[in-house]
Amino acid sequence: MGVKKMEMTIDQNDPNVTLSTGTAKVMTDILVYKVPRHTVIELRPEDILSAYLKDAGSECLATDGVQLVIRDPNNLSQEVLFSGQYALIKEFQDKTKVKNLGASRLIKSDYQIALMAKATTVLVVANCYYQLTCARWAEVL
Amino acid sequence: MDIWKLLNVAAAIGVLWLVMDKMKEKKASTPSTATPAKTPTTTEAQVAAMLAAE
Repeated sequence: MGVKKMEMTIDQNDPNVTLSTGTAKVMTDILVYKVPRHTVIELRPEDILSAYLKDAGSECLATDGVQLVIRDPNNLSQEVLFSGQYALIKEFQDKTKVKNLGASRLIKSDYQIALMAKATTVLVVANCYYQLTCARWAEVL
Repeated sequence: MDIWKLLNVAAAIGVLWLVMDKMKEKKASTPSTATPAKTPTTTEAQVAAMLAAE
């Protein structure tokens, strides 16, 4: 058995992602990625975090707060990797404007990578999309 | 001992020393043909340890 490194993007369609609408004016989870078994996720300084957040009618306010955190499998502890305003992570393509993580972490299986938001209104899951680039180290045959 | 004989011996020793030094230098600069073994990077080693611990 070997270990293979693959480039990967965690987005709203990933089977290991759980999406939620969040709660208005409270910092709550809107995307939780649970690292699968026999896998390690590597976050690197150059990796990109982007999100487009929208409620039933309009986009989230630029000043709404967002956080990217890592949690242990039992939700007993968490580490904040990024904390700032939504305006900082809303760019998906322009390399001069995208938000680079600026941190290196190796995340074990069953740990969670969660994006949290404190939006003014309740978001609509179907209207939101995300990207978090990373490297996936997985056991292969 | 004749001074010239002494100088000849000293010169011979000097030449011998120079030749041996040159040979040593040549031997040291010969590149090794053996391929160095690939050492895993820190990340690779850490990932392997994390997966092994599962």
